[in-house]
Amino acid sequence: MTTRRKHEEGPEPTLPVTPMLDMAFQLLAFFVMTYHPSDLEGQMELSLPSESITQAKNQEQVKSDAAAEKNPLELPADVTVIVRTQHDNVNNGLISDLSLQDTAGVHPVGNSLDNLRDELKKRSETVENKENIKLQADAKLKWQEVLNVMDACHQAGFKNVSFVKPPG
Amino acid sequence: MSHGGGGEGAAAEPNLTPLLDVVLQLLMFFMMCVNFVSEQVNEDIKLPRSQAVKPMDKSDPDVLFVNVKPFALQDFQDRLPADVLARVREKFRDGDECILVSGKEPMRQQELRVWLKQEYDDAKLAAEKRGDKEVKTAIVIRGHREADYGKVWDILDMCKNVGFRRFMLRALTKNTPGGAT
Repeated sequence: MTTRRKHEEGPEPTLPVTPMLDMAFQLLAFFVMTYHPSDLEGQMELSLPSESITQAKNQEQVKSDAAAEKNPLELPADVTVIVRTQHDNVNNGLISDLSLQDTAGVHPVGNSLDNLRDELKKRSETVENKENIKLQADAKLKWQEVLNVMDACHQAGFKNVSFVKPPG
Repeated sequence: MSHGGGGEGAAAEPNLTPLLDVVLQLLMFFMMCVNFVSEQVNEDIKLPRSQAVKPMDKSDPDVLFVNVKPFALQDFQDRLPADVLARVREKFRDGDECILVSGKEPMRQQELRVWLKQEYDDAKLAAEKRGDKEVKTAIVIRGHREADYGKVWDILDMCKNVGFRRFMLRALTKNTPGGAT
């Protein structure tokens, strides 16, 4: 069989590429049209201390970890951002007032996130705990606004934002 | 061919192979980039935007999705069977907090607590069988941008009280102010 083929002078076998190309173009068009690069979903991790770590081993630890035991969603931090909102048909669920609380007291910073970021940058140079910060927001604040405040904290250098129970 | 009557040369055909190579490469790129919507992810949730989010780690299989949004009847109008829709209509009014998890009817917080407890107990049994000390299941909170902070906090607190220790907050990536918009 092979020897006979060698001596034959038949036409060269050709692969029909055109139908494959047609199909490839159709598939390409489908994927180009369903491709949405702008809406990429991401996530931020919010780890809590494990139960075995939070269990106190002696009396001193019980005192120092009392706040964390009361509410493990909170990490120990020196600064707390307080975010207020009003339902007055103007700022429904939007930020109406921002303030910072530390050991010295409460300091209002208006309602601008830029001001908050600048104030937090100043604080981050002086406070002992430069990683953690607490966020106490009103229950009616919109989730988007909470993330905007978290962004401001991240930009000021505070990497771990923990949540405080909303007042009321 | 009529115009080629004078000579007996080979017919001129365009070489499609390089074109096909390029097309297949483009096809491969889009196929790899396409983000197929997971069953557990609810499309009605309009996620907030944030600069602090990191790309998702899709290799973590041990996750539970909890979607939170203000209830809107039109979201369910043509998607649920009539009897389920009637129950949902009785239970919620527009604007109420509504919790959506995969394979369940829209829930309120009390029902979520029961479901979370069952999931935690199952995960704990599985962890004990594997010899792990702690449940490693992560709760992924997908909050609608219009949802109230208080409702999201309640869910986080509930998950913590049930026993879960790993949480993730989902958001859409936003460009940094200095970067390209």
